[in-house]
Amino acid sequence: MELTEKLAVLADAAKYDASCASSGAGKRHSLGSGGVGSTEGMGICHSYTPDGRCVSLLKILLTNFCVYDCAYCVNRVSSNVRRARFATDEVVRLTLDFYKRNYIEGLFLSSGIIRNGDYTMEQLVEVARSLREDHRFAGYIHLKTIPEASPELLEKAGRYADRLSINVELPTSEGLAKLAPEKRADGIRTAMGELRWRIDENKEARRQQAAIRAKPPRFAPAGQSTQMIVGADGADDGVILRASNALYGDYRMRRVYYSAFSPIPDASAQLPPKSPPLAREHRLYQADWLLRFYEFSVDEIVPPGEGGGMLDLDIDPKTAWALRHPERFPVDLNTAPRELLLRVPGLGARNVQKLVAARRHGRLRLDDLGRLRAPLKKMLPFVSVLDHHPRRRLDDAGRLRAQLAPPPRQADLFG
Amino acid sequence: MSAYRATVDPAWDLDAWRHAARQAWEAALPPDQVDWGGDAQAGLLPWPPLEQAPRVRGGLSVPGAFMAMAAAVLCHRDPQRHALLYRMLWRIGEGERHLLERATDADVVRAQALEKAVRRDTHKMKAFVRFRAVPGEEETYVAWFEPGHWIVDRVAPFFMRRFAGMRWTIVTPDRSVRWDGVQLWAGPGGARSDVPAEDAHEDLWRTYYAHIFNPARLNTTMMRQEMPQKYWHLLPEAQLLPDLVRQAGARVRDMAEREHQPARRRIPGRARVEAAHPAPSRDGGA
Repeated sequence: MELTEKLAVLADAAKYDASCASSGAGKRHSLGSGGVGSTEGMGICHSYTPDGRCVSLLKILLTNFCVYDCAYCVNRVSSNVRRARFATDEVVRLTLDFYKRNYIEGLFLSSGIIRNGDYTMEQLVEVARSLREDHRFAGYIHLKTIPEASPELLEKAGRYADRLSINVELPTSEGLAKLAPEKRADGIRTAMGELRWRIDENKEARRQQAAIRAKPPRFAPAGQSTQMIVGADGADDGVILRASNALYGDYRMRRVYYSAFSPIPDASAQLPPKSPPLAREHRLYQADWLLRFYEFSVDEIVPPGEGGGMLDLDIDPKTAWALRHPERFPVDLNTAPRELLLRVPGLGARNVQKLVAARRHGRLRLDDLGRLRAPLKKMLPFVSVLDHHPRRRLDDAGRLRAQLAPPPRQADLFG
Repeated sequence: MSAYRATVDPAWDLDAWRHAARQAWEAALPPDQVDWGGDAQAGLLPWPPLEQAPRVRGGLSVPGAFMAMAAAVLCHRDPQRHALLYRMLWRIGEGERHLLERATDADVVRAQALEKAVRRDTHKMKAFVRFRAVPGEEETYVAWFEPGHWIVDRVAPFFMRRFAGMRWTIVTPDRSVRWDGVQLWAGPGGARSDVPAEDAHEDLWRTYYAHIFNPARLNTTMMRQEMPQKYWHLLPEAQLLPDLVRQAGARVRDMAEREHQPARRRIPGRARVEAAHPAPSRDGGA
């Protein structure tokens, strides 16, 4: 098969993995090494496809031959998709050729399971090794990690890669058992625990060594991430967010990605016939943000026993929380502490920081808020400043909700 | 009090602006007594040059954050930027040490908006430059790019750190920059025709772009927001956009309407894996 054809098949096979992040690897450059590559903390999106997604990494599978039969996966053994397999040096060449033309930040390499976990992992590690050692490549490398792979291979993978990830796939072990019969929830969590242990251990060892020359090599400096498929099993948003919260806490995940399961060619009959609305995935990301950066708890975002454990689709989760708690508003922007400012709908963490700095130099007025470019329509019912008070707008939460929610859109054409 | 005209050359250069601003400050010239003249690189009013202003006081030390912001703001094409920065410098020197914290002050808001525009332009240049290999020369690449602001000198060190092992040139209408493997060189601008018309790898890149796209998630608003149309003519993959967008609906309908197909074949090796990891029973006994 021609290289172009392989690339087509193996990019098609990789596109359901949502992560394209290339940040968090720290600072690195190629001056004096003779190679190419750099990372400077923040990742770069080199292009955008018409689905609005960023193209940052060359995201491909080494092969889409797979012995597993996960119902949600386009590459499962029982699917009739075209199969292809790259030689490891083909991936190395492709990565370097794309990188040198400034198309990408690096490589995100994953693979179907061929023969067994160790055999597959060995091939992935070999690509990363060759890039780093044979070609002195200093760009970003994200390797998908096979949970069953041996600790020696994990150790090597972390030495060459910036990020490692193992997909938890589904929020519950029951869902996984039903849709991915060969995958094991306990095995996935053990491997994540192993990665966390190695990442922490490496950080500690590097901290203790004062001399730069004596520091042990970095292990996955951009940490680990994972992905959950949304809408393929019956798990509600509360269950999903509780699973995420545990993943952030137990394994110190940098990111949990949510992937609304989307129609795939040759879908399994086991899947629900209809994919979940993309808005659901969007609301989950917003809720995830509230958990990590806005000091919300899962119970506040999805109150137990209300709304069937689902997030509202028509309004964002922070506004939804505010409408459930009118007694906490209005928040006086001139006097309220930071943690209350973070609870104001429409007010992001950056603007909170700006407000706290600005109010040291004078009392805030409506004009001042206008210059922050915050969404005033959303904010104003919930805040007061010198010359603004929402008065009785908070008394009728139902009416306020109707004002804030966008008008219902035309139904999905393919629904 | 008499007025003077300032010269900042190059107009985006922090050292050049700082030199002029220091002279103006030391001559105690209030903001309305200096003509900065925008990108003409010297004032237009028939005022004497700043060098002739008598020095009446010592220099001024300003917060590092202000100078960092000034370095970015100077790269903006707004002809008022030199005057804006001097007005802010004046206010800081005259007692508003914490001016930058006043996120709702009109000057601060304006300067931050210019800084943000330059940061975005810089980021997009890092993202959207596309190198083409120079035929017959080993590891040598050239790119054509059209930045929105005067950012080429500011961005060049990024490309140097990243592509240290190559020789490369980036040509823009106003300025070009070259890395010979040892040193960075800046020079005058050029033309698109200075760069090869194609690169053999662009077909592979387009193949990747077309296949990593998921037609079931079409969202062109998001795409346009992050990859504005003004850059499309610089990106080889953007040629595919009209077709990808047009065909997306039909591709999704095909997937939805397709009858479920039984597996046509089994991949060997499955039995062995099952022996190693007995699969849990279907009724959920993981």
